[in-house]
Amino acid sequence: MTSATERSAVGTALGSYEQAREWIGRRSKTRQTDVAVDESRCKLFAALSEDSNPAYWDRQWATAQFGAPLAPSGLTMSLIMPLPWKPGGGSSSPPSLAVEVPLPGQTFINVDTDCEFLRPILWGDHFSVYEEIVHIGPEKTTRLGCGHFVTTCMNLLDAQGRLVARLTNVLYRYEAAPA
Amino acid sequence: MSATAIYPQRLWSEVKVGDVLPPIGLAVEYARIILNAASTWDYFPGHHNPEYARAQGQPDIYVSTIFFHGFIDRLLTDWGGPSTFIKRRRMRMIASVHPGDTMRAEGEVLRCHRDDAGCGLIDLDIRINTARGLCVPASATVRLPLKPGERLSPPNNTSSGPAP
Repeated sequence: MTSATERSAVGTALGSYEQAREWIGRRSKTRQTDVAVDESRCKLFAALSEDSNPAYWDRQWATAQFGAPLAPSGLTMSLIMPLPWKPGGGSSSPPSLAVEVPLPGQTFINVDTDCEFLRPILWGDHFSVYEEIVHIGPEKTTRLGCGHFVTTCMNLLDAQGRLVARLTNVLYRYEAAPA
Repeated sequence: MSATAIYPQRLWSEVKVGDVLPPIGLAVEYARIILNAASTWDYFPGHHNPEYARAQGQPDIYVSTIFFHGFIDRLLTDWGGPSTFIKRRRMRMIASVHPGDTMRAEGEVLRCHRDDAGCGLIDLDIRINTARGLCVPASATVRLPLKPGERLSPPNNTSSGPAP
């Protein structure tokens, strides 16, 4: 993206549907996630849904079973989120290619996910990720406003380059209806 | 706990079509939504800024996608046990969940089958509701052990993906 790209208050690139359609099939560079999977993040996440699965909590048992405690599968989408700031300023990368697509509409909301897991995720795993724009739908009006549905597919790879998870996501980029 | 602790684990052969999973519930407060945003690094303002959420057409801040993922997975592993491997989870968010709501997840077994490698798989239908009705229809496929002590998804027993 160029620095001239107009952006909304939440960082989405603004433009027309015609511009957006050129993004279908575009793939991001492969990047490494900012940090490895760690105990505190896994435990806080499990705590907030009151999930007592010993695979996340009982280090000895989980290590005997799996080689290390597991990260909750539900946390996977979070692992691709960038830190909000780094030394030198700014975030390292956008959370998703879906917000980089130039489209009208000042905001967005997630509507649909399809997550496939090929391997368990362990504490200490560090991933790389790449993403592809699969589909951008024509303008559609919903109860929230008017906008476009953007489908992306994100692939999470382990340190050996093996696919660990494939996350297909539909994001609604829209302009809110007047109150 | 020790490495020899024994936790209940459901076997594939113990499951039949029509089995109903024990439902789970969770009270949703501002703190839970905001702490979840922090734990998942999902800092989108709809999850912590009521004014922004209202400008989006929502009545208040709302639970994130990743929170629903975790809640569904808890439903599955509470029922299946800690060696349940979630192979696939699909969900659609048709209504938001806000502070003051109570989320309830329920599920039912739709199909018991084996994959090409002979692994025991279960397909499930899942629903998350609040007092206003259905919020998240979902489905999942999980792998359960065929016999006690079977280790799921060893690193060399799953396919590799395409090189980036």
